[in-house]
Amino acid sequence: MRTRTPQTVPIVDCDVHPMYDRFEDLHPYLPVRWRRHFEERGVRTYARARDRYNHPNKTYRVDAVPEAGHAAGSDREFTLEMHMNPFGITAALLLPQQPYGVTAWGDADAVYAFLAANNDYFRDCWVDFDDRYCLAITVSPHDPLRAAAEIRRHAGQPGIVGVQLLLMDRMMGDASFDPIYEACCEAGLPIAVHQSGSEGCYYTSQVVAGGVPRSYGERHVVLTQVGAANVVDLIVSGTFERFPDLRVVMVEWGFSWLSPLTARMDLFWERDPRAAPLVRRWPSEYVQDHITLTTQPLDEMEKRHEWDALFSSPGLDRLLLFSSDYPHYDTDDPGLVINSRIPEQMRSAVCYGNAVRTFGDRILRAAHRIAPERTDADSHGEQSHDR
Amino acid sequence: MTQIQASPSAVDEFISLGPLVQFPIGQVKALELDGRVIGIVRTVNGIHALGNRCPHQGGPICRGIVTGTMAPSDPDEYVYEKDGEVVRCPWHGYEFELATGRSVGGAVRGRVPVYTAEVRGDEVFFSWRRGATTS
Amino acid sequence: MIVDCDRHVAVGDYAELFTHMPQSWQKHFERDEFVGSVRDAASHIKLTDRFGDAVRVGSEACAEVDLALAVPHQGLTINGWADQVAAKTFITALNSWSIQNWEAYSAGRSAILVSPYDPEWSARVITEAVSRSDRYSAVALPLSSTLLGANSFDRIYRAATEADLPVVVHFSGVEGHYLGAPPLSGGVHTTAFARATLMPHLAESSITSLCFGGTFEKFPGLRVLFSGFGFAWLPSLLWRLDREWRTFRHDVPWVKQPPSEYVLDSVWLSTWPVGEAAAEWPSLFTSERLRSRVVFGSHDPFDGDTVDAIRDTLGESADAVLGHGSPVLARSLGAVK
Repeated sequence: MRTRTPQTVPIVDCDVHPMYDRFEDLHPYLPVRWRRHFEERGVRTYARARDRYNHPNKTYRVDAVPEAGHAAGSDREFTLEMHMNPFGITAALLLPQQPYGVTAWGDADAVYAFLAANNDYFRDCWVDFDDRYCLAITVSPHDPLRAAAEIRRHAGQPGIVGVQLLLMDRMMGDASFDPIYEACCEAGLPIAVHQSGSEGCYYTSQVVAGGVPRSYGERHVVLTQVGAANVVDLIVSGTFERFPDLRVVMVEWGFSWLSPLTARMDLFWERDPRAAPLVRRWPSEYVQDHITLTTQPLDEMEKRHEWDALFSSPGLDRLLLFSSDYPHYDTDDPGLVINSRIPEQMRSAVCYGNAVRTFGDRILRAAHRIAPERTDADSHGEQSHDR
Repeated sequence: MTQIQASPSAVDEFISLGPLVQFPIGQVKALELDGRVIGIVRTVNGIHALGNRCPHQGGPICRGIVTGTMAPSDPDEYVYEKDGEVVRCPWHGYEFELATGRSVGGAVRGRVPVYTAEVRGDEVFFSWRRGATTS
Repeated sequence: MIVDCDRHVAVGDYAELFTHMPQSWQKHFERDEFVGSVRDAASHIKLTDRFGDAVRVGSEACAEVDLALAVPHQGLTINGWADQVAAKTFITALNSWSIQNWEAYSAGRSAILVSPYDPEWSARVITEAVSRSDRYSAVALPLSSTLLGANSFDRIYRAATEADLPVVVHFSGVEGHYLGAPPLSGGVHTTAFARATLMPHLAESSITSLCFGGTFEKFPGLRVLFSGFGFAWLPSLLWRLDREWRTFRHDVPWVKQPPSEYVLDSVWLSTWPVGEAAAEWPSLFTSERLRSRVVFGSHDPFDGDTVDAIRDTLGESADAVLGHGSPVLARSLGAVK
């Protein structure tokens, strides 16, 4: 039996994937003609081409299935009970994943109907259900002006803390995204970018370097490159000069590649600043001022000094946001990561301080009524399933 | 999950977990013994008892699937083996041999805890003794 | 000992190659636009004509070192050509030119250019080249949009291994730029600055493909040098390689050990631009195995690193790194002055 003691640090989990269980759950949020459209044409809610890159196991944790026949991540109470409560998670950034499928859709009208329905559903059924749930509403690049309108529709609503921007072939520094960034800055909402699964699958996707990886696992090794490429593109395109208030959260792209990348950019910029005329200051400064990155999937090293070296990278303590990626297969266990991996001196920043700086106080809207409890397991740095 | 009221009080003490028919081949049957979860896995060749902790990040092994695996092979060949003798962690999919708890292919350090299960007549017996299993 | 694994030579005028090809091919290539493109091919390595000084072509590049590997980089740009038949004639001529060019410089060694689009032909080129001269110290394989772990490259790896030559991979500069050349990560990058920044990803993807494709199981003696891509990113890649292998081992069961082991045995990276590794070198490159992966590569004459720059950044370990290239270019050592 676990004993519980008061938690000392709020924890914001910046990557939790809720799902709706059945398409009928969206019906109240869809005009009739769109219900009929999707019933007739079907709804593709996954982005990855499963006949090109098929996952060898399951894409979700088997123990995250709430009960037979229901999808992992589809039960808001089960998610609280098995993920948020045991670890004392004060807030979860919800990044709905069924919208990712629209990155393979061609019909922009269908896209915006579907995304609006998703945004409304998760706001009503998750955000309004428990104030620990905070939502990044989803927009796509099909029509940036409509995306901006959707952002404005939700701006200022309780529990709406960010904008999940789906990516297709255009990189984040492309000027076509400017209406989206303008709306985000106006509303004080950061952009969150997560892999959709479409990467490396279609002509309408971004790709990893060099060619076509042969297997899911090989592709997953180098998938972080797409995150890196977009960080470069934001900086080189002068996006942060045009939008000095813009904040970007890179979710599930890793971060151990960041220090060599920014060092390289700084070096090249110093040698020839006119080769990147829209860059007005050190590239690494744009990263420090505008970008945060989530911790999952945390690299796994054999030796203590490698952990120490990774976390001693200058400025990293201000860049990282704790994340679990619940309920996906490559989840990081919060107890292990927070208590045994994140250095103690960075813990507050990574658990909530950087999240507050990124999303504002609104991310901790539940904090006033919660004194999250800490289990004995936490103090030993292990999660026990069967004490 | 089935709860067994008694738990062996000494390492070599065996208790009955119930009739063999309650343990279908090829699945991890999770049981709670005095607050601790174990998994009993019946195979074609024997019966195994696992602890509920993956050495990687502590995942609940007893929720894993029983499968075989691919042997180390020549490039571009698949050689399937150990059907029903491997459990795959429900989180990251790491594979462990049921008989020893060892990681397949040496992929990860550490083992899944392995205890002792026996079939006596048509009943399954369990003890907390670590290590080998019998058929 | 100082071994420079990343030097470049080029012809100043394509007419210099004409005597190295059959007359009818000479007449094919002898056209204004092709001849006029000679500086395009050279400047791709710089990635932009705003990036550093003008190209210095020529072969003075073996001064101050005991051994220099020179890649005729104009030949790497065939990965942006549309005519891969003409490309083979072009690189044959470059191979012939470069070996004659190096005759006078005992510290100079050339890389044999091959074509990723015709591995069978390339294997013959390797075998014939080493039978004619001992001044070749590597096989230069341009990157194509087929990743290096594909079976189609096995003939090249077999020939290289039998000749005891490493395969050297260097970007041509048209990657992510010319249609048909390998893509860079993300989408279309319109600035050379962004492309230069992201070039190391080509090495990452290639290494991943070699490991997950089982190439080092098939060719345990194969040595692969990724030149011009830097090295500070290597620890991050090794962690990801091993993590993904642990999850997906059963999907690639021919990968019989953690992929990082293959890299630590068989892959090398050159130093340029060494300045970007100032933080990672002391903190992450702490084991001899990892350090031994890094070889000196000046990237001369393209805005590269001098020996002093290596010493400034790598400190006490600089001298060792300056000589790390010798086991990579093993065939050459007997002939060093």
